Amino acid sequence: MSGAASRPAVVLALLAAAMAAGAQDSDFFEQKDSYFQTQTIEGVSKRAEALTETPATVTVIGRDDIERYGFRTLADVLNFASVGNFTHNDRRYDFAGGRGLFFYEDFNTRVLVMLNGHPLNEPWNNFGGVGREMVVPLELAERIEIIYGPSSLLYGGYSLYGIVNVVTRNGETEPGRRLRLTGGSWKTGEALASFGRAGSAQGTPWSLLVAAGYYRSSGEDLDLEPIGASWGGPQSGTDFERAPFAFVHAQRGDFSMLLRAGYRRHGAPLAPYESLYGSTDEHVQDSKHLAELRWDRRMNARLRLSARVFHDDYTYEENDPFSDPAADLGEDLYTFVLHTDDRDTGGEARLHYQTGGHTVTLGGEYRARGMTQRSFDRFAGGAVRDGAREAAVTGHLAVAYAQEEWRPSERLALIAGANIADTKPGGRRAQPRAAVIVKPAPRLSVKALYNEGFRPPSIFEAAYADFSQQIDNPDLRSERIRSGELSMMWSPSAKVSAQAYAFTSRLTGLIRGVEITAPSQVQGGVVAPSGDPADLVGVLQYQSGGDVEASGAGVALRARTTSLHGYLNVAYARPRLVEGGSLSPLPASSSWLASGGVAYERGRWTAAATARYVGPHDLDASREMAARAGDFVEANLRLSWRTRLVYPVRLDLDVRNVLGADGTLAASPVYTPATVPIEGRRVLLSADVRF
Amino acid sequence: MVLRSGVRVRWAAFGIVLALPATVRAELIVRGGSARYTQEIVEALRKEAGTHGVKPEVADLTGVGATDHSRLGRLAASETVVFAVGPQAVTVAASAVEAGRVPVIALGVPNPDRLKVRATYIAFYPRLEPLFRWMAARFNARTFGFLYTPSQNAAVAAAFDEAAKAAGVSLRAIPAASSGELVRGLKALGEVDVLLCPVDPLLFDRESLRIVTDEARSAKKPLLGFLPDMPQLGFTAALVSAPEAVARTAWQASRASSAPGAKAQDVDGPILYVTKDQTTTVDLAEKPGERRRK
Repeated sequence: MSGAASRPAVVLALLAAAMAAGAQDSDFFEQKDSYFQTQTIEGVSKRAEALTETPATVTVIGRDDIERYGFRTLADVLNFASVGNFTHNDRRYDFAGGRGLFFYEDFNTRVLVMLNGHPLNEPWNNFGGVGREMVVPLELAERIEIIYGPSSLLYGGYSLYGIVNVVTRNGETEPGRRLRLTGGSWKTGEALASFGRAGSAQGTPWSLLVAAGYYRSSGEDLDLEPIGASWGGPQSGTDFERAPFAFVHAQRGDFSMLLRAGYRRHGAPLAPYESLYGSTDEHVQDSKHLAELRWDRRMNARLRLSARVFHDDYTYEENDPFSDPAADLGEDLYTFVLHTDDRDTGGEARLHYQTGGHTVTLGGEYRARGMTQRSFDRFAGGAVRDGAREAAVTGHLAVAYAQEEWRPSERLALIAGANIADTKPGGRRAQPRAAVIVKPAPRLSVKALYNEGFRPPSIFEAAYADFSQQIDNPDLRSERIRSGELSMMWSPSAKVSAQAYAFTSRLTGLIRGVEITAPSQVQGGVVAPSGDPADLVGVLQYQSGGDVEASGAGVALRARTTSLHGYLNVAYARPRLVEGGSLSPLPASSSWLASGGVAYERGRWTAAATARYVGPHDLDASREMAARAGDFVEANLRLSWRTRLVYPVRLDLDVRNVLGADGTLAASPVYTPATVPIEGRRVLLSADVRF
Repeated sequence: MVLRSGVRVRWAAFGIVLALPATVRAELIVRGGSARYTQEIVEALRKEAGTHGVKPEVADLTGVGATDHSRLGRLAASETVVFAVGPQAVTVAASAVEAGRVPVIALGVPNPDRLKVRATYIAFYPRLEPLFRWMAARFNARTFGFLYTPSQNAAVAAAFDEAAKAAGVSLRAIPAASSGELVRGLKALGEVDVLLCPVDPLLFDRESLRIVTDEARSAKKPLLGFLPDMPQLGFTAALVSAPEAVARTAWQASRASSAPGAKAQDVDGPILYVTKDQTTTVDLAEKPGERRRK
């Protein structure tokens, strides 16, 4: 054989040898599950379950995927790794939607966001942040559980779109000292430090993880097309973000403690509510501090008891600068300031009892909720305009729940449950769940699911009244959603899995803000302080109005070889607003969504790409424009290199929106423009050292 | 998958159940995970059962879920002994069969104190004292390093330390919970003659494993593990109890009235000395030069 002819053979032989060595490697690292852990989900039934057995359609994103693909926030995960969930970023917040349901200025009130099973949605406005407002950096996440559709039977509501649960690492899964530093475009800088330790004292295991960090970015410089005389043009430093946090997770024996503190301040460069365009003073700030003490004890092989007590504190501050030549005191510049402070204090007790083919879950939770709100106009000189508005309101949530899972055979599981919740505001509401799970083969499960969910009105929606801009509505009742679903999960091998679902849902009693145009529209018997009903014309009142029907389907594929990992998600949903007997499309909600990722690992290098497709969607009806938004592809790249510079270091190069896509999303009616541009290309470099 | 012993078995994603016909004294074997070594133990258990005139049935499990729990509960209802191979299988089996009613023999569990499950454990590691004597002679070693994650293997480290003292050698414990601590801990490598790595989370972290093998190679120190896969990943050799000996010990334990939760029962019989190129059966009572090729 000639030398030239033998070269390909040598190359092929070397390649085959490398692949064989890689396969050996890969097979061994997969054995970790045999000795230490198995992938489970806890968010659906409040106990560890296999993905194929939980009564819901779920996606679990593990720490390896988070690192491999470079997901930075929960919004990233929803947009680039979920099946049919998405967020619209309006440069203040990531607003989440799911399965076709999306409502402007919703503030994620219909998705339950949790940290280690601790609900984060606050009582003032039911807000659950999926950015940096409430959770911890995903570098501290062990896994993220995404549960689709209403699944909050054991939580007492709020989950109309689904649940997103961030399960953090602990002192055992994130041991030692770690420092991660990031810098890049838009003057972005981030520092994250953690210390973890685990051990055993007198036979009792303990673990401790302490972490703190700070994120800052000046944001993208924007040059938006002018609209009228006062909106548009170049601006810089208005899209800023600051987010410090601290986090502690401690465990000893049956007790564990969760502490989180931090805030996130973000600019509002698109100037909502016709505020002053291009002002760096305009911002929102969300502060979330929480403490939870949990006790979890397995009494014997059958019985497990759990209890927890918690206190959450949330404050919100909004600064909207305005220019109004007709303002008081002869000053034309003033800032509208809204400050709220709410508290959520409560406890929960729960038991799981397992015998034969039966698993029973019983429990109850109570939360006392309180809110104070203050809003006023502050002039540039610091003086406050007369008429500052204040309110202090209390509420509660009490829920009792029960669920029975019966497995009469290896191939069949029947699950039934119900809860009854009493909320103030909102009233009393019961919610059932039923599921049939058939496993015709060990690696195939088919689930028929019926779920109901509800969302109580927030304290803000039901009880806030200043009689100049908004009035309360004592008659406001909870929204309710009913959902029927057929779901399939198939794992023909450990390296390939497929998931598919089809659903139909109907949301009734949609809560929306209505501008009162006639006294007869006022609900709840609200009377103006003057006693004149005409005084209420022009103010806002939250009312139940209209239903939303939705149906759709989705499919997800995951596969991996020795060195390649990949996934693909495609979802379709068709939502329709039912109002006065007519059907109309839901604005800002894309029927088609897709996301995917591919990663290649070789030695110390990993290259990964993720992408999402956001299908076209309608603008808000008030825009009176024929155009649509959406219909774009956004892609991210990550290149990782592991090396040693005395200590092990991982270097990550991220290029966000690598294609520089000019995508747009339909803007909320509170904005002057009809669309919001997605963020442009951004480069970030991170160094992650464990020492 | 063809095992070392040349027997082909069915792979399962999460586990295998081996059930014996109800007409004979009934046994149930539960296996969790897909690790090569535990597969070999399951196969050896099947063979051991065969020598006693029974032919086990093989069934797949689905995972650590309620289905497995209820299924095992049903399967074990008419059994007299349950063999569980691997930590997850032990956990589910002990819970499903209502511990105490049916004895659970736990195999393939490297750190039983972490499980806190009522069962009769069969030692994962070979008899440590003769093992130390053999290693000392084989590698001309007086000081052994022992690399481990404290939260997972503190009890194992204590057992190794006790055995080393009894064997007249010294053990230098090197606790390391993370890859960073590993770098610092391995600075002690110059003070030991041989480095030992138990079954530990550090092994399953690519970066940590690479650091361990690189440092041992550069210090020219023998690196010994306790899973048969380790030589392919850069270890000098692995030392494991022969699966047949493990199966025999488990079978004998199932016939004895040993108390659950007692100290793990040692495995009698030869061990396997596994290198990248060959597997050798070693009788720990013999001198290293007397070992025979398999």
